[in-house]
Amino acid sequence: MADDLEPDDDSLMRAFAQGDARAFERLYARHHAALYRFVRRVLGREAGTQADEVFQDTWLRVVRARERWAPQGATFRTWLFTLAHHRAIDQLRKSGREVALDAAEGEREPWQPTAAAPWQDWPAADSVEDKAFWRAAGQRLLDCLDGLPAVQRSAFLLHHEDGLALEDLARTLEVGFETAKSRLRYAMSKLRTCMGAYLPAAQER
Amino acid sequence: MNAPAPDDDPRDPHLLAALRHAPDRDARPPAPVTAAILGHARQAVQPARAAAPAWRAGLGAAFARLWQPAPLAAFGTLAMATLIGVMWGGQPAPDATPGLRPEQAAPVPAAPRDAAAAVGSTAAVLPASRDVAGEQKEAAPEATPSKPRLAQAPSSPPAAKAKSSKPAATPPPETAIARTDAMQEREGRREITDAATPQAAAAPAPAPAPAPLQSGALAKSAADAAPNLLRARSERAAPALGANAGAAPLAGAAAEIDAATSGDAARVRWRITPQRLVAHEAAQRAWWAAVQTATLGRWQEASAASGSSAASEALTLLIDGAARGRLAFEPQAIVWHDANGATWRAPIEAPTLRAWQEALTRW
Repeated sequence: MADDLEPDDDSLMRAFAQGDARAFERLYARHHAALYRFVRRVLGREAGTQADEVFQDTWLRVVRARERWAPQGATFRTWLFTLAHHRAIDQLRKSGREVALDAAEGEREPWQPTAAAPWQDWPAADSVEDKAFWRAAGQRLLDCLDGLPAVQRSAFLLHHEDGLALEDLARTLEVGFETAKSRLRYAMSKLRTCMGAYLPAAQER
Repeated sequence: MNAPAPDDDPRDPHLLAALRHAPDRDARPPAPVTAAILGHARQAVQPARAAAPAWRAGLGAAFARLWQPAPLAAFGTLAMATLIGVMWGGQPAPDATPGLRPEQAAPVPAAPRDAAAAVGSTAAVLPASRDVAGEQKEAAPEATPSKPRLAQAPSSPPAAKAKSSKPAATPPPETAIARTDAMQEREGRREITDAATPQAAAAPAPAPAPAPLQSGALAKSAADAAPNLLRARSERAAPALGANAGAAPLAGAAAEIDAATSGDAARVRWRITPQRLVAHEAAQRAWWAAVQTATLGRWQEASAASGSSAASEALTLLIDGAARGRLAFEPQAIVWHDANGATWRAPIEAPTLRAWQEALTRW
């Protein structure tokens, strides 16, 4: 009989800890796509070939930690992305890429929106009539993401792509609330600048 | 995506839209990676599942073996004999039911009465058992459960019943008292044997029936026959089982399901329609257990061709993709077609069948 109420992640994780392999399959089905995208984007183009390894290792950590896992204020999803974030940062370090933990140091004030910002002329975000523009913008955004420090990239992706609130973002990055907020703002500022520089050309299409 | 919390930084709709349209938005992990992860997860929980059944599996198998009609009937018979023996131990066997004619309830001589008391437990159930046995002979071709007939026993006077049901073979009670001891002894042995049939054992509480033939000789013959109770029961049960060898035809499928699900639950599936397969999960397990329990002891082998034209809603059991049996519903029965081509039918009350079919619609 089909359940009308889909069990939440915590229930599934508990069931998995008690030996229900199918519960794990459902968890995996729910989160694998978003987690895979997150890992690929955090690692960036240079380390992208290691995305599969990081992704797999993240899930294996979930499997190994099943019996001691407990929802201590964070959701399963937050915990999952925390594991992936740490694993990705480790991988970047191993591959020789610098990972500045305090990515805001030495930077200017975060960007603040102004009425004259070029993206004010962009088509509506939910417009379906200009898909080509948005596809190009999506590719551009990935390029821009590559230019960000890994921790800012993580902050932006977790906040925008995976919907984490600032509080969860801080918990996932294991930093203070203000630090998380600062990283996010720097990331958005740089991305807006990067995307804005691209836009005029895009609009001349 | 979650809605931002009130104190959260708002998400930039343009960046968000660009992110949604990024070329890697449909990226998925390669299939081997997914397979490796899921395989690892299954392996990780398998030892926990396999370690426990070391003792549980043995216990389960023992219960499964005992949960067959023949062992159940044996246990039922022994339990009933023990219970009645305890109830009437050291006392004379109870008199006939109210309404019995005075000559039938006449006191028996003292000495044989002692003997009757010694085996009161068995003798006390003899008349009812004989009635049942007599009727079972008539009802054998119908092969219907005997419970309703047991319930009728107290309502019809035994003498009248004896006249109507077997006028030639059974003399009236008045003349029965004059039969020879040898005849009575033979009668007693036959009755003891009948009393041990699964149907008699399955009756929840045998109705106290008249004891028209309760003489010392009969009691003695019953006492002689008592030690042979199990042997006689098994002798009688043997041909019955031979004719109905799969009295628990679902047992094989149940064992296969248990074996398959102990390794990988996904190996067992039910096909409801050609396009619709459901896994053997909690709801399916509960449904299957209910069907097994309700049909226990009711299965009768039937020819595949004898299925009712009203049969509907076939449900196929698949293990590792192979069909292991098919359940179908008739208006008054459930039908099981096993993997060997045999067909079994168990009469089930219509409301129960409806409930089962309704449950299927929610799968």
